[in-house]
Amino acid sequence: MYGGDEVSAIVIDVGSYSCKAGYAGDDTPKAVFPSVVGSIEQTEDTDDPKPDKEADSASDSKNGAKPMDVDKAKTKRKLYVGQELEFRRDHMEVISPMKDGTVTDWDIVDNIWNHAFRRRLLINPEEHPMLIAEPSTNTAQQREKAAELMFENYKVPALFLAKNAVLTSFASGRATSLVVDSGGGSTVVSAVHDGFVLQKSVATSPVGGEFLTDCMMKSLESKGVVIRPRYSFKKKEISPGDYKIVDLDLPNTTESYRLYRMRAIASDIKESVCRVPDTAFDEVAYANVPTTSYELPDGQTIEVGADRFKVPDILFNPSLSQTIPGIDGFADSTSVRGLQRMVIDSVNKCDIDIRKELFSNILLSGGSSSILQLKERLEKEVLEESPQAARISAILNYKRVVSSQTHARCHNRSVLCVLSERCLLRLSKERQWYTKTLTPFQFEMYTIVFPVIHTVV
Amino acid sequence: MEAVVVDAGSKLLKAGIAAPDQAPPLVMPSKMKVDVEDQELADGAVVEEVVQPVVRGFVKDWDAMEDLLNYVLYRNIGWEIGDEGQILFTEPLFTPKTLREQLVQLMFEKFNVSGFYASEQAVLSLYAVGRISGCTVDIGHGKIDIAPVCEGAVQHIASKRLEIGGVDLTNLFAQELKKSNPSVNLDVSDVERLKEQYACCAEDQLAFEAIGSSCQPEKHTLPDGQVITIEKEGYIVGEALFQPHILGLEDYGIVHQLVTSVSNVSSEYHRQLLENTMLCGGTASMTGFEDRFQREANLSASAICPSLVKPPEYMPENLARYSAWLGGAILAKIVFPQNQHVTKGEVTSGHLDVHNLIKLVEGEVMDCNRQDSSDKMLADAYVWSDAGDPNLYGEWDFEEWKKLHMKDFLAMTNGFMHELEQPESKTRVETYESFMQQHEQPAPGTQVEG
Repeated sequence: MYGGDEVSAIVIDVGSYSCKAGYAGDDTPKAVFPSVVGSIEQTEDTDDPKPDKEADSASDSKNGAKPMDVDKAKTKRKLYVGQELEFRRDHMEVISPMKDGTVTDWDIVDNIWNHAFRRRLLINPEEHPMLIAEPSTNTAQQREKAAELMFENYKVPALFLAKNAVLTSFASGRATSLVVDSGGGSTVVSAVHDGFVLQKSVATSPVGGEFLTDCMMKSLESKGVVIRPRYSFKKKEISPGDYKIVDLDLPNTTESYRLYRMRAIASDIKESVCRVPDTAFDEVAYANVPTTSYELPDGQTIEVGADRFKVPDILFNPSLSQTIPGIDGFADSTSVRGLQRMVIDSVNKCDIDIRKELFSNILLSGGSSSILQLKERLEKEVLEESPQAARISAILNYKRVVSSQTHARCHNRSVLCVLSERCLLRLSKERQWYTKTLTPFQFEMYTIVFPVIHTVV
Repeated sequence: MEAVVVDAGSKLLKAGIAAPDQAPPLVMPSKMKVDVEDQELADGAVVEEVVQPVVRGFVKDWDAMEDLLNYVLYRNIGWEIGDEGQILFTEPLFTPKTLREQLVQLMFEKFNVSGFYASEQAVLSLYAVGRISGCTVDIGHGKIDIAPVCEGAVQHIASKRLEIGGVDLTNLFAQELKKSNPSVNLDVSDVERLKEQYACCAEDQLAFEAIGSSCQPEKHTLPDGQVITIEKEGYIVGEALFQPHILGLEDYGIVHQLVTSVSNVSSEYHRQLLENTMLCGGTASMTGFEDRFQREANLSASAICPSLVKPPEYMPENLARYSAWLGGAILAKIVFPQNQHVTKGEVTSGHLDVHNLIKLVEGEVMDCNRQDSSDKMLADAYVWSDAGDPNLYGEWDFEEWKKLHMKDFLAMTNGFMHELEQPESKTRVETYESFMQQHEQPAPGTQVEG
C-alpha cells in the first residue's frame, strides 16, 4: 500500500557492453555496470588441470555454453563483476558472456545477475517479479535457459521476457515503429508492428559502440598518441605544485585487461569529441578540419581532427574502418551494411502497408545513438534512398538526465512492467519444475499478446 | 510546530528540532542494551544483549528502531501522543525501496506523524555547505558512500557504496593493539574511544612507511587501570582508508574510488563535481585525514584534481560529523512549509506514492537559504470579470439568466465551435475574444470546450 500504484518488479537488461538493472516505474536504472567480467583461472591440483582456454582478447568467450551438469574437473575460475573489475589484479582476464549478441556463457550471466540483485540493488529476488530484456534475435533455447536460471537459482515469483525492440517502442508510446538500436556490441534494426517484432525485418551489423571505440583507439595510436590506462601510472611530486608522471611496471597485467582500460579512455574521447558528418566522410575534404583538444587522465592534451568525423561515419560506411591501420576486416564484409542501408532493407522486408508508418517512426536507441548529428544524418540518408516520399522522422529515445544514454531501455522495460501489471500478464512458475521439462507457462492476456516461451521440451 | 530531523547512523543517532546553524541537540549511540528481566542465571552473571537497529547504514531491526524512536521522539524531543509533528529522515545511498516503505509505514502507523519526508544523506551534506552540486564522500561507521550530486540529484549510476567504515577500522585497531600489547584485555568500546583519540593519518605514503622507525610510543591508562603502549597503530588505522589492502581488501584507496566514480558521470560535470568535494562522516574527522586526502587528490590519476570544499563560517565547528543532520534541518525548513512532504492521507489513499513524490522534489533545483526566508511565492492570477456579469457568489438565478441570455449564448457557442473547426482557425483565446467583441455579450467566464 505504501508503494502506491507501482509494481515492485525488477527490470534487468544484460547487453553486450553494459548491464542495466532497476525497479519498474523508475526513470533510470539504479545499477549500470559493465557486462564483461574479470576472471582469474585457479588451477585445481587434484583433477586434471586442463588449461581451459586462453582468453587473449576481450571479445573471446568460453567455448560454447557450459553444460549444467558441469564436469568439476575443469579449472575453476574466480569472477570479478562490476566494481571489482576496476581493481587491477595479476592474471585477470576480461571476458564477455556474449558472442555476436547472444549469450554463450551462462555462468557469467548468473554472476552478473547476482551482482546486480544482491550487491547493487540490494534486493531479494524471491520477492520481486522479474522482467528480462532479450535481444530480438533470441532463440527459444536461450529463453529456456534464462528462465531456468531465474527460477532455479533465484526463485523469482514471476518472470517475463520481452524483446528489446518492443520495449524501446513502448517507452516512446508507439506500438509500431522501426527501432534502430545502436549499442555497444552491435547495431540491430528491427521493425515492431503492434507490439510484435517482425522477425524477417531484423537486421544486425557488428558495427557498434565498441567497434567505433576500437577504431578511435587504433587511429589515435597510429598518429603516435599513447593512451595510458589509469592504473599504469602515478604522479610524483618533484617540487610543490609540480608533478611528474611515473610509469608503473606491472608485468602480470593481462593484455585483455590493458585493452579494456584503454578502451574506457578511448570511449570517453569518442563520446566527447565525435560528431557525425553531414555528408559522407572524405579524407581529402576533412584533412584540414579544425581540431578539438582533449585532456587525457595523465595530463597530456591531444588534438583530435578528422577522426572526429571519420569514426562516427563508420556507422554509415563500414568499409571506412579498413582505412584505419590495425583494424581487421569483417568476416563477411559483403554483408556488413551501413545504417541507412539496413534501415531501408528492413523496411522493405515488411508489408507495403506499414512501410509508411515505419518510415515516419524511426526510433534511435542505444548508447551510440546519441552521437551528435546522427539523427539528422540518418534522416537525410534515408530520405535520399527511400523509394517513397515518406516523411522520415527519427526520434531520439533517451533522457539526458544522466550521462549515459543506454538507460532509456531500462525505462522502457519499466514501462512494460507497469503495463504488464495492468494487463495482468504474468508468468507463474509451475511446481513441476524439477523434472527439467519446461511445462507451458500460464499467462492471462488482456490486450496485447507478446511472444514468449511456448515450447514443451 | 517545528519539524524534527532524524539521522540514524550505524553508530550515532542524531536528532532534534530542525534548527540549521546549530549542531543537532541530541546525539546518542544507536546501540541499545536489552533489559533482561526475571531471568535466573546459573552463575548470577549478567548477560548483556546488545542490539543494533542500524547496521551498515540500513535499518535491520525494526522493533529496536521503534523503541529507539519512541525514546527520541516522545521522551527526548517532547512530542505528545496525538499531537505528533512532522519528521524528516535521512537515508544512505542505495536504500532498497522496501526499506523506505517500511519506514513510512512505521512512521504513519505507529507514530502517527503528520508529515514525512526522506532524503539521501549525500544531498543533505552538500546543502549543509551551501551547495547543490558536488561530490560527497561520507565515511561513516558502517559504510562509505561516494556520491556525485548534480543540481540536487544524486547520480545513482556513478555512486559507490563501500562496505567498510569506522567499525572495520576499530577492529583493525584492536587487532594491531593485540599484537603489540598481548597481555592487555580490551573491550570493543574501549578500543573505539582509543581509536578516536589516537588514530591519525600520515602525510603521505612515504611518510607512513617511515613511521615505523621514527614514531614515539605513548602510554595510555585505561579506566580499569591497565596500561597500553600505542606506537604506530594509530597511523595504520588512518592509512587503511588510502590503502585498503591493510584491511585485507583488494581495492583502491578512497581518492581513486572518488575519481573513478566521477569519471562515470558525463564529462561536462567533472570539473564542478571534483572541485566541490565534501568529506563528511565521523571517520573523516580523523587527525590529518583532510590534509592527506588533499595530497592524494593532487597525485590522483585524473586531469582535474579533487579539491575539498570549505564549510561556511556560520556553521558549527564539527560540521563534518553532523553534516547530514544539518542539511536535513535546512531542507526541513523548505519542504514542510511548502507542503511538499507526504501526509498520511495522501499515502493511504494511493494518490501519492512515497518513492515518486520524493524523487520528484529531489530533482528540482532547491534554493538553499540559510535564514528563514519570508519570500512569499508570487502567483499570477487572471480574473475574468466583466462589470455586467451577475455576481456569481451573490444571489443569482439561473432560470432568470436563461430567459434573458440563453439564446444568444447558444448562438455564440455554436459559432465559436464552428470557427474552431475551420482550417484557418485562430487560437481558442483569439476566437473567443473575437466572438466576445462581436456579440458584446456579458458571457460567463468559463472556457468553452470545442
